[in-house]
Amino acid sequence: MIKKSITALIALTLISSLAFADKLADVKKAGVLKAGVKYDFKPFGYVDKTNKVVGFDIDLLNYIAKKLGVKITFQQVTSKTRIPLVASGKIDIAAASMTHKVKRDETIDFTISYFFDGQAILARADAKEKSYKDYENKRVAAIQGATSGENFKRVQPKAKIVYFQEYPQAIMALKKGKVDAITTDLVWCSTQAKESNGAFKVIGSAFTNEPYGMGVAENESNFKDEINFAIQDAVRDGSYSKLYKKWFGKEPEKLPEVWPK
Amino acid sequence: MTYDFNWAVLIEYKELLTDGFIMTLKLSVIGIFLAFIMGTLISLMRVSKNFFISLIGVYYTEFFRNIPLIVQMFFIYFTFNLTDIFPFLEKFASFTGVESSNEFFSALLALVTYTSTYIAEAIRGGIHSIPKGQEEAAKSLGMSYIQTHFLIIFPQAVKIAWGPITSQFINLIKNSSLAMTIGVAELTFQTQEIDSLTFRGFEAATAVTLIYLFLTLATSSFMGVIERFALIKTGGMK
Repeated sequence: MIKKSITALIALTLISSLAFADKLADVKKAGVLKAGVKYDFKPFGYVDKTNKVVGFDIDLLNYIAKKLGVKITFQQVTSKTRIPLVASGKIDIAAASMTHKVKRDETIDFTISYFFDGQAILARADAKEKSYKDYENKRVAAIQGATSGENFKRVQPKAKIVYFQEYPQAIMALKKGKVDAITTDLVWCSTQAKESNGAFKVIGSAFTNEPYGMGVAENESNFKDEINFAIQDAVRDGSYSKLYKKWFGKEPEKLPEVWPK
Repeated sequence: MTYDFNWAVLIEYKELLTDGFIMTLKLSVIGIFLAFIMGTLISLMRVSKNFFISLIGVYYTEFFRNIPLIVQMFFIYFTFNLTDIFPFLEKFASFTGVESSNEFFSALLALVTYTSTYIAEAIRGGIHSIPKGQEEAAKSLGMSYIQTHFLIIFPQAVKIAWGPITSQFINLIKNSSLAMTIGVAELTFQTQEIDSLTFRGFEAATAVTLIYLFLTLATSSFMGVIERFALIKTGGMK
């Protein structure tokens, strides 16, 4: 008699846990969207003078959370930790200037591309190089876990890549002459060059194609759909362009794709 | 959550692992050697009868012991260009086959200054635990200050402190992993690299755990062999 009721209890808990295996329902029930963003990658995600985390990714996520009808909490991620954190479920979504790579699709799922960047080079103002071709036997800094290191090695195999864990160390290394350049996405490089009061400059133009996608857990179609629809709503009602102008100072050249309802 | 183990990635990326292992080995071996010498020097300075020499010893110990190792590494790496200040380091780097000499030597210097303070304290404890009779006997035999210390006091002190010294050597091996924050491609860095390339974090973590375990166990066994050999020679306890 007791055995039967225990079995029934176990079956009930299993069934109820299956019923809540849908991440969208989980997030709506919890009322909170756990988001991972970068804290050191201006203008996508960075900490401002008032110690608040701000940026294009943050604003877009705030919009999405409003559309989903939930609150949002932010957590710091780096290029190395963003995918494991999503895959393990510690965060629900990662908007951290993450390039949508086919290889990364094996571990997590991606939303539609919400930003289109390319990789570029940031160097000191007195650098004589004109493009990645001139970096043979030079030292170039990249962040471990990002696509930048491999991409640069592919176009200039003779360069020496020095890996750092976070951008502040890479910038310090560039300033002190420990490395000859930093290679990462163009928007960050331009932002750094603009704010450096002439200390840094961007070399050449973008030499790869880096479409950003937000990372979500594997096989959660309902959740991914809702995020996609929210991003497209932002494009439709003009919020996307407004945010784009706010953070990048110009109209978007390429919009995320919008499907008819 | 099921997890399909794929141990083949470790074989596929074995060059990364071996490169990292060799880099850690270089940091550890050279670091242990220099830290021991430095630790000996500092401990002898601290017990010196000369007030100023002992003061230098005290300041050195307190300064480098109380600053976190990662802060020391950042400070040395970002403030100084070691290969410019000491040109002989370049030759030493090519001799040991190290490419990024600036990062390597900054990490090495931080490891040595940090660990040498703990070794110095261990040896100093050994020196203090030697009965004063030893020093008096040596003096009555007509030995000079230097002879007393280097032939009688110091060997006994090191033997007494052998356990703590072994621990500090092992600490140095483990602390060498911090070098990855200034760009040294040692073992922990390479396993993280495998993780970011293949997303096989568990396999990578297992590999790095086993390799560090191998290094530290090898060190402690080696130190144990020396201990037994030294004790047999002096006819000490079993």
